[in-house]
Amino acid sequence: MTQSSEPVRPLDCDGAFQRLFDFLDKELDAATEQALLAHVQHCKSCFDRAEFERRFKAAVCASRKAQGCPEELRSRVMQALSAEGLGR
Amino acid sequence: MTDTDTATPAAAALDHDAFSALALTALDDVYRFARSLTRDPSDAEDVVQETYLRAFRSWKTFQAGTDVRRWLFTIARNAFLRSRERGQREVILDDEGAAAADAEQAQEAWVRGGLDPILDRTDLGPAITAALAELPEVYRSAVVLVDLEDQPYEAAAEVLGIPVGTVRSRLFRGRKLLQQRLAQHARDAGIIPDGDAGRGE
Ligand SMILES: [Zn+2]
Repeated sequence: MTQSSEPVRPLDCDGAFQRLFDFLDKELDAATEQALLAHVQHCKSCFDRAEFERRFKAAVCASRKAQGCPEELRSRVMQALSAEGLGR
Repeated sequence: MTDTDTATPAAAALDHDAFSALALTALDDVYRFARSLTRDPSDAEDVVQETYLRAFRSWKTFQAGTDVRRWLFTIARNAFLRSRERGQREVILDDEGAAAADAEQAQEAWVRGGLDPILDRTDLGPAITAALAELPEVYRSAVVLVDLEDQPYEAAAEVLGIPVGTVRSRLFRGRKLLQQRLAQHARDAGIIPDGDAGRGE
């Protein structure tokens, strides 16, 4: 629940940095998110930092495709589950 | 023989279908999380198999409508802890990155400058995987749960058995360490020219 009636104070650079990762991880309430965006729109150094961290997170997320379960393990698990009664 | 106490064969079949449809589609996710917990790939494979056997046996305790991955991650974490009790105790180095924290600060510009031009490359996956493998377990598991598996902080905290604030600090330090290792890997692989971005030495 967000208390939209309560105004959030403007953020300085420290405050923006402290909340940057919560923002990127979608953990901020709407009002704080607005305050962070307002700061970043007018502060070049925080904007650059936020952009870098956003792109880094996206790159890490994209690497998940290269880390899937090996086929051999998949069949091993399926075999173990069959022996346990799956599908019967 | 199955020890599930399902009332009828039809109900058992439904249960099995649901298990296959939900739990088994998360195999890649469980594997990635298991890899984040153990350094050794074959230990990770044992954790995955143990996780699925336990999940199948206790499938009735899964609450329909909740995130099956979160449920499986929790089982995997417990399986991992139990396997570690049996084997030699791996020391958990929670502060491994703390000593390097000052160096991190100084290196930040160097790391950011080096990584900035390459972050959008599509062939970065293997370098990220390699860099991730070098992180201490406590950081790796937090980064994998939140960045790769898209779990909310609260879910990561529950799976790892730590407060949300600890998830936050592990993520912060883990990402910084990951950036440093990635910059190093990218240089070693020739993706970033060596000595680029003016490393002060
Ligand atoms: Zn700023």
